[in-house]
Amino acid sequence: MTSMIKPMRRAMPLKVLWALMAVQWVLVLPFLRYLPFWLGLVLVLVMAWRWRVMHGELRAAPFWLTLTAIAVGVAGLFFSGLTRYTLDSAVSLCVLGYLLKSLEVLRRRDGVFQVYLGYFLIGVYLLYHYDPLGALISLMMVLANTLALFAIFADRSFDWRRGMRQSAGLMAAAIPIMIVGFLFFPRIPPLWSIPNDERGAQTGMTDEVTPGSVSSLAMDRSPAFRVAFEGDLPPRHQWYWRGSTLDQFNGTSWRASYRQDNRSQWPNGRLPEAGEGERYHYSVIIQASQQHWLYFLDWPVRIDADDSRILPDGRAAARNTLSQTRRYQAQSQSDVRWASEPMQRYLDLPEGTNVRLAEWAGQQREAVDSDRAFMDRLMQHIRSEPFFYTLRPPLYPGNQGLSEFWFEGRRGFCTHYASAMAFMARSVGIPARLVGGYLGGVYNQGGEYIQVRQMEAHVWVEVWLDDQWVRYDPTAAVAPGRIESNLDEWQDASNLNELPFVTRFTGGMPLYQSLSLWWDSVEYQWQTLVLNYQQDSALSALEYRFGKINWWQAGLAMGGLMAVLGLTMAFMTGVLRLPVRVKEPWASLHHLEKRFGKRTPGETVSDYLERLSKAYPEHRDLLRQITAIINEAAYNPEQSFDKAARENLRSLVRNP
Amino acid sequence: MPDIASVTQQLLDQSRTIIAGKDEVVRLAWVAILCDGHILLEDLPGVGKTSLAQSLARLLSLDFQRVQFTSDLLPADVLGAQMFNRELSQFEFHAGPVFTQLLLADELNRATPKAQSALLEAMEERQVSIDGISRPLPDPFYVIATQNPRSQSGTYPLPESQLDRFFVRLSLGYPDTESEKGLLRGTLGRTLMSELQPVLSPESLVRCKAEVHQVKVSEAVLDYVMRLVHRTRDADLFRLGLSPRGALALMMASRAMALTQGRHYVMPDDVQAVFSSVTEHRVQGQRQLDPKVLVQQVLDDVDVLAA
Repeated sequence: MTSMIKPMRRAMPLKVLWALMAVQWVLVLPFLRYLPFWLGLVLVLVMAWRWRVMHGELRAAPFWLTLTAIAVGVAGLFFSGLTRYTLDSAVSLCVLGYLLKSLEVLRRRDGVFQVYLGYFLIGVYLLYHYDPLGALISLMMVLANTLALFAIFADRSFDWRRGMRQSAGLMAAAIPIMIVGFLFFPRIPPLWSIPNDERGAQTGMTDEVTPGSVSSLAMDRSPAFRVAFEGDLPPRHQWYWRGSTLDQFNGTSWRASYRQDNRSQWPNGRLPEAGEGERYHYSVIIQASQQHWLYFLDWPVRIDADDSRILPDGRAAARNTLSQTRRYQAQSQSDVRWASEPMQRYLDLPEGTNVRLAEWAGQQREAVDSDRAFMDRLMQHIRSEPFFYTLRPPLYPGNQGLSEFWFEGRRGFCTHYASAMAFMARSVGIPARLVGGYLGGVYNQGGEYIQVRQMEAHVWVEVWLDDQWVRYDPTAAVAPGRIESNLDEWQDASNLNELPFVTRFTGGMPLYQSLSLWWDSVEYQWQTLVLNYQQDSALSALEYRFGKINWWQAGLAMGGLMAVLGLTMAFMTGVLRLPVRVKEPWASLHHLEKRFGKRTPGETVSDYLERLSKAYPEHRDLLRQITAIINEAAYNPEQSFDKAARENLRSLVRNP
Repeated sequence: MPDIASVTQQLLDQSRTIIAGKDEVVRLAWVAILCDGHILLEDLPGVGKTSLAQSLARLLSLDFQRVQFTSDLLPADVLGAQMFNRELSQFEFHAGPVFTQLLLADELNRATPKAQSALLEAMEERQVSIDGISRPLPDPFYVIATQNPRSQSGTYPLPESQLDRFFVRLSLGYPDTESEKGLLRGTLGRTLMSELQPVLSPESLVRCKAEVHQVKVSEAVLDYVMRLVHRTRDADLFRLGLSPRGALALMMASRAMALTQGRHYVMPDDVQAVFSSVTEHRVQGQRQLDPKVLVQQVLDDVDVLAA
């Protein structure tokens, strides 16, 4: 007895299998750089196996083999250190499943499953990569995956070129839907934010610096944030981007009072009151840093950012980790009035550290008559003595490290100079602290914004003089070029041997620089126009109309929208049908079926009731009667099935 | 107006004395005759094909002729020919066996295609053209052709287009034990043929045939028939689906079937009863699949009540 093979269970022809395999490569390749390397090996192995199965050289993988492969794969993930539930481990598991699934893709059903899984993977890919390049790659992936879908259903008549055309056509047809979705689909933060990424080391300023223990600085060119000014730019030497404040010194390291790890104890503070000088309005787009610090131009007077809080040392921090690109508005002025605060904590120094430096500082203080003069003298000292700025300083270990640096080594970068200076200020009783942030940046002519990169991280000193915090940047004294020009130019001019290899290689290439500037402006536009779309206009437009929107309202709206869309589609395609009130005589038949078991599709009413009367001989006459009534009612066009007959049938049926 | 249900009953009762246990086949043959359709009997030799044809002829009081088809049979042997009459010095027509009301064409697939098509043309046109002169065949005119299963040697299988001319294809199969015992005992069988009484006059038969067209078909049944027909056109199962002519035949046969049951409206049961016989020889399965199996599958799968 042959049975009809349901369409979804039919085996797919060879060329469709080929297409599916090719698409699988396309979808998995972009992931490889994020996942354990051996998943690439799995890819090759699985594909080789599949190729041989397709050509009849091997059997399809038996069940035990699939099971073993899953077990080995999961164990592999475990040993690759992906033991916790993180983005990486989830994605690895997903990709592994996608790869192993192909061991058994032969029927149409499996093919469709592969395609659906593929779409899911594309969505996952966007978690890693949401820049223009990522968007382009994922578009390619969608194109390929849709091609696979077409291949499955074109079956024998599949043709690469036509499939490609159809796939592209379908994507073009989806553009309007995409635009509408982009413009009006509410993005609810808890659902639409990227899961916390434990993978990347935190970038940007840390909460603690230990000048003596770093012997080289990596030059990371990735952007930290971008700033667009309304109106004129501040002069270049004022591009100090303030981030964290380090005020505790233990002899070797500077540490912030308000750190990521003690967030719950942060007090509420206020920004310094508006002061004199030109007022700069600007907006900042900050990259995901997995930290909390929001950066400003010195000195901040106002910030407009959701979910931020002001700390007493003149900073702002986001309440939630910066796990995705954000935008905020801020204002700064060149002079501000600081509220006075207890100064004792800016004077604390541990006993017996850097003794020589403290003695030397004391002598210098005696020689001048004011604190300000003392600070100037220090700056002068750095300028006149043979101090060198280098990114590869020697190590200055231990709690006498600063003395060692100041008197013997004399080579270091911003942290060394700033630490030494702040230490000396404290040792003579001047309140001092380190400020971490960024210095400078690259002005992007095309995009009219300043791009600040990780390699522009910087540390400087603030001292409390005449009821004001005054900025001293010793680096300016030792390497003035570092302040006035951007880092690339400055490095070109300085001794190449002092710089790390990467910079040396790329630094001298104007084409590379202009290209990277161009690309950065593309990314900037992407972030302003696409990623931060909603915060700017859509949400505010909606809020203007409907009042403040909270998450459950947005969820309700979104759910409603999706339900309406889904139901419309379901009804249009016939997946769902409105429940039709079953009329007599069918209602009675259903009643019988419910009670005595289903009719098979090919069974007529008479056959069915005959079968019942065999099973229940005691009701035979009744069932025959019912059969006659139903048949008459259903098939005799001349017989009117009136109310009395209906009642009669109903009573007969409900009786047994 | 003859009561077709009771005629059917009499017919079945009497034929039972000749070939017992084959009520359904006899009924289907009767349905074909009501629909003016020709019958193809496909079976092994010696299971009662000829007896069935003969008893039908007697019961319906139709003229009966029989032609044994052989590989050397010529069209003229079936249709007849112009012969020169020496005495009258003119050609005169000698009618062949085809000029009868019920023709039993035994072992049709033994004959060459030429002889086969002569008969099949006559079946379709209900007239015979010899030497340019058309001669109408008697009315009614039925052919009951028997055929050995194709696997037997020395046969010329009928082409599909010609199979379509047969209204139904029936097969008798071996008798059940009781009937065969009766046959061996001599209490039934061909020897009793002479005792059969006609159940219907030719005039009544004409009226009965007219009755078939009066049978009502409800929308629900039509939908069911269409579902069945469409399923036979599913390219994954059938290489050749049921043609509109086949669908028409299916509907007619269902009507006649309803009449034999004493109803003036068609029920799905009627459609199911005739479906295999009307459909099997008109369709072809994909990849050598047996049409019999496929057709049964269609009957089992297509929902009687809704899509």
